[in-house]
Amino acid sequence: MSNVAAAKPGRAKGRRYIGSEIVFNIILTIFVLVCVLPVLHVIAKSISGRAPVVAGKVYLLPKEIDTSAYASVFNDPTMIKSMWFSIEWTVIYTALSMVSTILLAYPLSKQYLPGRKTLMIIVLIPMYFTGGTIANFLWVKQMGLIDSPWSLILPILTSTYNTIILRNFFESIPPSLEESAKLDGCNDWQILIRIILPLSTASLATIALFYAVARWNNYADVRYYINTSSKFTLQMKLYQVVFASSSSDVSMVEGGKNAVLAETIQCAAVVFSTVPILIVYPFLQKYFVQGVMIGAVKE
Amino acid sequence: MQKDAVKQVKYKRMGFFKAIAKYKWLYLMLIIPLSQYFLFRYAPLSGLQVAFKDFSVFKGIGGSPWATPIFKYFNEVFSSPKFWTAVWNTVKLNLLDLFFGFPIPIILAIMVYEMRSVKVKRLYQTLMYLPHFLSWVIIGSLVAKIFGTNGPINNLISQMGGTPVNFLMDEGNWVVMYVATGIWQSAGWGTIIYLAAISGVNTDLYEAAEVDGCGRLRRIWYVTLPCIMPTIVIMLILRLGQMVGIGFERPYVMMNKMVTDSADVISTFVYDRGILNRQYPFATAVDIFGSVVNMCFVIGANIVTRRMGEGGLF
Repeated sequence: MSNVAAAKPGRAKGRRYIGSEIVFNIILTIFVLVCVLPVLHVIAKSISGRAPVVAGKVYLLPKEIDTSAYASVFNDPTMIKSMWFSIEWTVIYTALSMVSTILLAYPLSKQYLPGRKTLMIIVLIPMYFTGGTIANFLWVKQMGLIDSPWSLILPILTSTYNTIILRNFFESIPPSLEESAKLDGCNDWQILIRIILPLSTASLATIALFYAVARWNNYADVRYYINTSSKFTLQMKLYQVVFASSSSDVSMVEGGKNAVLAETIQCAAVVFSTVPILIVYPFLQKYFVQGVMIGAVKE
Repeated sequence: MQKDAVKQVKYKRMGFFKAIAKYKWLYLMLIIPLSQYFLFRYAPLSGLQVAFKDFSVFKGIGGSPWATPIFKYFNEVFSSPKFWTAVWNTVKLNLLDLFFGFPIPIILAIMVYEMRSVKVKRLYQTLMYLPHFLSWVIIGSLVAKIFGTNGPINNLISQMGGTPVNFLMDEGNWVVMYVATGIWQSAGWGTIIYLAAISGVNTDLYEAAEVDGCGRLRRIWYVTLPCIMPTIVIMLILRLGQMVGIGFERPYVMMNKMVTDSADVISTFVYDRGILNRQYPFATAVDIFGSVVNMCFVIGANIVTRRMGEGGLF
């Protein structure tokens, strides 16, 4: 990506294209505003008073600042519980997936390993042919995992895409390092843990973030496999708050609070669910771009 | 290449057990990931036979009798008008996504690249990538809040004296919203691959173009675009390979009861029939149809990209 910054088109003869410069900036600014304004609007609504929200007066700036919506969110034990549940299982998923991905990518990166091609085929086939929703559902059911948090972990434990990214990186590490360690009497485990992994921290961070964000944002499998509201992830909880607020399982809207308070609470819930992503966003952006670039480089 | 070939001959001479003994640690590593693959990617395929069985939860997959005729549930699927609606909606929404969504990242990438200041470039990129990281539930909530009947857009419309528009409950409007939301979520992120392609263009070409008297727009048209054309074509073909698949979450979080005729796609149809209504054989048959068609498209796309010498995905 450094090339993007290095090359300076249009500077060659010191020419300035003022017309197109303005037009490009206007278009990009509009696009970027469209990307960001919806989030700002919801934040503004979440900290506004009831009256201006009813009157539809809140656009991008909050009016009559009122944080009671957040008090409702934080006082709702199911919301906090969903947040912790999401964090807990995102961490477990990321940790287990990393172990599994490393253990798969490392042997696959060894050109000399007999059976490597067969392994690669075994790993690639599920990328193109899967059982589909129902076959997977019936299998999870057969394993007795319905309504267990493990149903959100085990079926998606190792991503083939991430494995290939990591394998490509491992392949780029000079084999001489491995050879000299072998001469010193290291076995493959020791080489992996002491030499290869410390060299791969950036790639490992990228992939860990890929996993964490995927698990954090995933909603479909919670919908398919989880029935008990105590095991709802934050995404599932948010869906219920925003889209099913009339149903009885949303405790916050009960208790005689009127619909408008619910609107500010809904917005607070959206912000509450977005904040974790916004916190890690600076890291995400850096590593994800790298990840996409590694992934784009074919063998 | 030659070295590789020589090495391979050597492996073939190595016996199976000898190889296992020599590389035992590497093979041991594979136990965890491979058991995951077999247990959760290959074993579930056994559930596909449900599409050919009169499935009963009590008898289990193995114990349920085969359907007579064996394609009973496929016949049911293919004679179901709702199924064809879902197939048509899947293709229609994908085509609209492709037509309106595909060019935008290219245009944005070119404009971002033309920015002189690195800081400005970074700022645009940072803000543009943001929607990609929000979950579909959050995006669906934002859409509902902004385009709902009491949302800011409708408030602005009525303030200016117009009549409020029902963006989400009207089928035609819903399709527009669906496509626009998709662009909102992915266009910025989609610029990455094109930015990489553009930054790979030889800058001598730009200078040559300028010497020949090209302005910026002409330079973009005659140098940048042709140079990134291979990337564009590859991305287009890969996108065409996904024409019959739509993930579950995006249509699900956006749809409502008023628009199901336009919004029901294969994935949501399967969810409704299979998981909600427990018509497992029927829904599995739909799944199989979707998987097979999808696989043909993806493999077709890969073959085409390979023929073009760009190396497909496998």
